[in-house]
Amino acid sequence: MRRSLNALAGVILGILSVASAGRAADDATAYQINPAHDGSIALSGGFTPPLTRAWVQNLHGSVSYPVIANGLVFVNVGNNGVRYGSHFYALRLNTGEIVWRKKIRGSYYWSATAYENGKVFVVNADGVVRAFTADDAGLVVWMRRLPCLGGTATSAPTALNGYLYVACETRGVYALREDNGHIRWNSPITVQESSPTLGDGGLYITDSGLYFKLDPTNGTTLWLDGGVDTNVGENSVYFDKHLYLRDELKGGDFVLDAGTGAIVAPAAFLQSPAFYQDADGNQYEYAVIDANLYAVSVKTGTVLWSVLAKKTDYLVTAPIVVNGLVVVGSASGKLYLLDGKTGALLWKDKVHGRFDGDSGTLTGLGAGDGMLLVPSGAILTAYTPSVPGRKR
Amino acid sequence: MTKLAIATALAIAFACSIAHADTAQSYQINIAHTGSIAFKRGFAPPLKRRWVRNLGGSISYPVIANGIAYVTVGNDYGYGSQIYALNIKTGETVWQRLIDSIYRWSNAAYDNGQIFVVDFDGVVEALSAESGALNWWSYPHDGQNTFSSPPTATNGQLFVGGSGTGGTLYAMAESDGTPEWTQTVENGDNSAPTIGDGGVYVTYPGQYYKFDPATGALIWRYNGGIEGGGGRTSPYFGRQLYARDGLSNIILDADTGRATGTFSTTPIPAFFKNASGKSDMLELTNNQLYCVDVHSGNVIWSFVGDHKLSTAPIVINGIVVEGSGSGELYLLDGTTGSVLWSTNVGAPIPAPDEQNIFQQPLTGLGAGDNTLVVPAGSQISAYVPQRNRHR
Repeated sequence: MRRSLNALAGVILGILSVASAGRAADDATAYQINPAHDGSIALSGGFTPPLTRAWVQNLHGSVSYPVIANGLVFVNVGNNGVRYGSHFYALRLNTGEIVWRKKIRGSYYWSATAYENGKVFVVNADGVVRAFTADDAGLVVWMRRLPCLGGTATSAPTALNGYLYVACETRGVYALREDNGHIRWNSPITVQESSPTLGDGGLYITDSGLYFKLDPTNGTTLWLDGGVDTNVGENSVYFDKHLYLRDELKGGDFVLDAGTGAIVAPAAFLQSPAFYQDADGNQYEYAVIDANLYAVSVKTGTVLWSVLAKKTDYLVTAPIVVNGLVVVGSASGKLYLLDGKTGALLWKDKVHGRFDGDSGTLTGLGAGDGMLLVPSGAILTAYTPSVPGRKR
Repeated sequence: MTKLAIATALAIAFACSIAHADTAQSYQINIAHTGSIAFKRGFAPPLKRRWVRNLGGSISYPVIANGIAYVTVGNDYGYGSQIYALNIKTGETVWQRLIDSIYRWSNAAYDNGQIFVVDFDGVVEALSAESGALNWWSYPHDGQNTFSSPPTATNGQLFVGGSGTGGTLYAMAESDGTPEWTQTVENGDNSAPTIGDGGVYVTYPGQYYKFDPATGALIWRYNGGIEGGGGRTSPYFGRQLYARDGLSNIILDADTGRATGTFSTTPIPAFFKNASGKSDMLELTNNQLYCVDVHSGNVIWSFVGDHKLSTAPIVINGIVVEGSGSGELYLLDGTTGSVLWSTNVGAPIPAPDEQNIFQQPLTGLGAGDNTLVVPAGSQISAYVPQRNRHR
């Protein structure tokens, strides 16, 4: 009986530990913060401007979008201009201290990361996938090379519900078990530069001219549209039962019904748009187009407000939304925090470096565990919000 | 039909006719593209500037209806464009939508409470004129991928031209975008469909067409022995089609398609009836504006202004409006050509470029709701009479 109770206690503890090591509400686990890539997060501790610069790190290479979990921030850093390959960093979120660094050898400078269940997963351009413990040890849990057969893997990975989704240019999409890296399924869809997107019980793959919804548990095609794979894809975004994607074959950006794959409306966004729903149910899309930031009503499609770039500067980053506040950066390195409902400027700063997104490393803003993380070239800057009630 | 139904139908027809009286619904104001309009409340100089705005990119011809001026605006830095709905009295943005496409061209038309926008990729959006909400949209399913002709909407139908592999003229239902018919044309670019005399006309180099709007049946085709390249928008006036194609300007009998003469102009000409009831045509050639008697071809008057006249002329209540590349805006007596009033709008008023539409929407002067609207690059101004006088 005692053995049974101990076993039961062990099971319960195991469940609790898995739950606590899984995705917490404040984690940033993928490109544009989450597996839906909607760029939105609600920090439980609040996010009140003005922000304070907590630390700045020069990582001497192109810094990727940050993944944030367990009090650590993980970034890929391309060895640009030195030699092919990249480095994978874990930094202490509060201090910016480098906790560990892994060399990621391979072709080109590209690698990208996702997080779930206490592990961070890194994919390089050769399709080599590594799993590390997302803690101070950074132990290798497993590693495997996907049979990309001369092609490249250039899509940021996504992890959810125990599976890691990786897209390979020549051999399609793989679902790997997070615990051991074993292949659960493979769908032979060629994909370039389009991170798998998750939402509404589906996994979305969007290459230009060809896009799919797959069952994430077995890879079964739930719907497909397009029919001609013409070009490199772009990251799609899932929000409220709709998929936002770019299809150059049909002439631009479109909104799809996530349930059926039917195109329901044209859209406009240059980079991944961010989405936010306020307490009243109002839904906002934030998109940087033509160097300006636009807030668009998801319901009507009309522009609610816009922030126009100056002639000498350009808004360039994909926006993110933290507790209803929009964060966006300009080419010259200015960082803006705007009221999501009105567009009012709440705070701004000038980071070191510039926001130049064409370095070969997929970069982007990030937020998690009470912090805002801002890559700008080789520089990574962390900001903390104000503590309500505390005078500055 | 009951008396009530007849009365209701008549009331609706009357309401529609009233609603259209001061409306500028297409390129060059109306679906015949004559560039002429009559304000119910009159139009007499001097004018005063009611508002001016800078929209940050090249501004199209305005479409004006129900107190709102609609313009498309090419994005300044990147590709794509936007549509703005501006309060005609204040210039304030009523609503604004983003239009995603390659290049910066898009243009609009209005009818029956909807704004129709076509972009370079051929995506057609039907928007609520009041709120900007998307009512329906479509994109070409036949492989055409280059759209550069402003749309024309009337009587429940929307006409759009496209090209890519040859050219296509599309007719679709204003209500929901349902395709009604398509016709193959040579070659689909740069010609806003023209409506008049029971036909819809499009004109491309050496190839001019008249189709039955209801069925799409070809009524006549003028074959000049050549084809290729982008066309131009051709106005319909007085049972004649003034066919423009970028190479030549030929007057055609709208009933038969037979050539009856030629005319000389660079931008699209305007047409109006002068004070004595005769029909006149306004042609801009070599930066000089000519008023020509439509029937005799005689020049009645000419105007050189600052030697930089640039715009396609329009006519409001018999008063000719012309802009220049130095920003001068002239109001001329339609009978004599004398200057009634002039101002400088503060920015060059560009000529309409109907050919190189990659970089900007097609632009032009506009008038509606008792207001003259003047796009000048990225600036747009609205002018109204200082005092309303009936002419």
